[in-house]
Amino acid sequence: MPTTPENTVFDIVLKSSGASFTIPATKSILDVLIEAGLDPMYDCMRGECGICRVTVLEGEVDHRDVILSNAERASNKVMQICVSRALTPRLVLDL
Amino acid sequence: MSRYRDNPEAIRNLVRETQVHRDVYVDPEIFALEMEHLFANTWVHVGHASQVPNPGDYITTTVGAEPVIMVRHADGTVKVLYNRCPHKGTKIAIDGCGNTGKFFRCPYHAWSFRTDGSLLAIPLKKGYENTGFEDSEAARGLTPVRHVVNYRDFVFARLNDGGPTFEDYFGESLSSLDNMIDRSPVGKLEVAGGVLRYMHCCNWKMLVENQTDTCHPMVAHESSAGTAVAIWKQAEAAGITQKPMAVEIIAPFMSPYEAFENMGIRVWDNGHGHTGVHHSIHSNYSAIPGYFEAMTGAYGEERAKAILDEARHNTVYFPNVMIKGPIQLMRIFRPLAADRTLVESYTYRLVGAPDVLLERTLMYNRLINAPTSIVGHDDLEMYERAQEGLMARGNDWVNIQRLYDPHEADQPTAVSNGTTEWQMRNQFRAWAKYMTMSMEGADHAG
Amino acid sequence: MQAEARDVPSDQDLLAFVAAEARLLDELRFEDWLALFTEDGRYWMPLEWGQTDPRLHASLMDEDRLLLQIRVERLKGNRTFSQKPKSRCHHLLQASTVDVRDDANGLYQLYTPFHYVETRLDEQSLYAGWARHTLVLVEGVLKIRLKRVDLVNCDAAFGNIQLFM
Repeated sequence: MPTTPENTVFDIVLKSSGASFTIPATKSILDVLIEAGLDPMYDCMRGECGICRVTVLEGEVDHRDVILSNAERASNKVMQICVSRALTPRLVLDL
Repeated sequence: MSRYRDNPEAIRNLVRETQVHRDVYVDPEIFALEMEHLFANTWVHVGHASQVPNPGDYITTTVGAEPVIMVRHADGTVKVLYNRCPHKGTKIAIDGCGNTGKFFRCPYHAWSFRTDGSLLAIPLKKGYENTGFEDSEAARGLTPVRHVVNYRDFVFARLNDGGPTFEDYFGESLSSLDNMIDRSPVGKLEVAGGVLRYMHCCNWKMLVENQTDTCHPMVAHESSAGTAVAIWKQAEAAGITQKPMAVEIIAPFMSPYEAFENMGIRVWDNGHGHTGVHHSIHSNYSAIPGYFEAMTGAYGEERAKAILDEARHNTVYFPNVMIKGPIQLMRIFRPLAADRTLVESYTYRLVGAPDVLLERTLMYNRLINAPTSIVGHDDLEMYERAQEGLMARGNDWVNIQRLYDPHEADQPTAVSNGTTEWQMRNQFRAWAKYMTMSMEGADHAG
Repeated sequence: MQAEARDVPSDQDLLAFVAAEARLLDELRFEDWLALFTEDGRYWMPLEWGQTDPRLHASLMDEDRLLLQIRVERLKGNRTFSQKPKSRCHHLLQASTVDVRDDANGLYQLYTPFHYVETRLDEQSLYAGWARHTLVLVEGVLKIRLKRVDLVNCDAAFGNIQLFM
């Protein structure tokens, strides 16, 4: 599974509120959500435990975790927001 | 060799109308069957909702021999989960209480579970792909206890799917819990002040029976309560007039037989019952300034008086709980082995009432239920002597015949002379019923 | 070993008082032991680690002279069945330290780690903890105003604890 060595900047949109956030190269989706005062579920922050898994509604995921199966990655329907990023400029998440 | 397993007839033969076989107290197989059947078919107290006020708050405890977690789920309801990782069996929570956040995480392999027990995530989950994991027991997460009722913040669980509904099981006996709760001007209790834990080398049922044994205080407690009365008389003679709260608490244990006879005992179906129908050792406590006013303000004078005039002494909730409404106290008799019982004594704050009530509750608990209590010493000595004495095989039977009425089995609810052993017989009728109810080949009508 | 002759007890006097108090208990001289307390003296054994409130939190013991006297009297009783046969006890004290010396008010606080054994029949239980004595001078004689006993396992489930630590 290819991973991108350098991080790109991208946007996420939360389905429930419609709120959007820009994810800078130096931060994870999870970091940004926590800083925004949201209360996402997470634990290891290393892409291992699986707890921060989120359903992806739009956009293409740059998977960097070590938990999802090949089939799950290929489906592009779920991601671990503590480490994984986007290959498209925008992700819509079921949050 | 197994004498009682899958043999409901042998179990029923241990309980006669007016006596019970010593095996119910000393036999390890009977104890194991009590854990499997009796504590699974009955509604067992788990905890109080005030112990888990916020989502993620939990306590760990047991139902019979089985470890459970009581947790406040994200939706605000209280869940009871078996405290056992579906993976290897590790207890998920070890602390007596805490807050787990949004999920439990097993400390062994980091499997995680939502606070309703459902599986949240497993590290390296891809290793289970194409293994049929979805159909395994483990994939269901932490097993929830399916039958849980939160009655005015008192949480009870029934482990087995069979058995009576909560309402059928407790029926009118809930009036004792109601009275304890209604003693708060806002109708709310909080567990408060810490729990006293007292280890007993005896069978748990001896403790339960003793709760309605009104012929022992003036004998077994002569050493403690009798001495207290004598010392207080000396103090009075020396000119001390203000009776201390401690003397108010201990002295009534020396009440004469007549007082206990007139106190009355009420039995309810399914092994529940209480002493102190008409009055009790709790009847003559001093008024606490400001309390009656708070109660009349909340309920009106007539209703407030009715609540406070109820001086029920000990109410037994079969199988292993006793409450004292007028003292706001619960004792749980936790069975550990045929000859080992942990007694936990919990106290409650009456929300909206003066602190002095909690002070008195705590003093009562300390003076009567602590491992350092002289009243407790009196009782435990008797239980332990009985546990050892029952090893004698010269007489296999324990007598519970006092004021026996051959027609009492037809009366699920009754009020009787306060020195009757009816409530003990009532408990053993329920014992036989719930021991055999789920046994293979048993007659479910019991 | 009490500071009868002098106005101000030395550290040695204070340490000797604590040792003598334990000896009275080990010799089962409970009435002599009780006489060491002031009229408003208390014996407090908290239930909670670091407990500060004896009133609105449970304690194992929180007893005034009256309750202590009941206990001592009960231990002698003919029908005190939990003392047939009687319990015995043994104190092993670490040398006390004088935490507070307030000569002006005749008030002293001592800290004494201990091991305590209580035994009856074939059972022997070992407890470990810390005793904190608040001593006061009453007409030139040291008395106990408060003996606080903190067990290292204060919140454990215990069987009978019938004597005094």
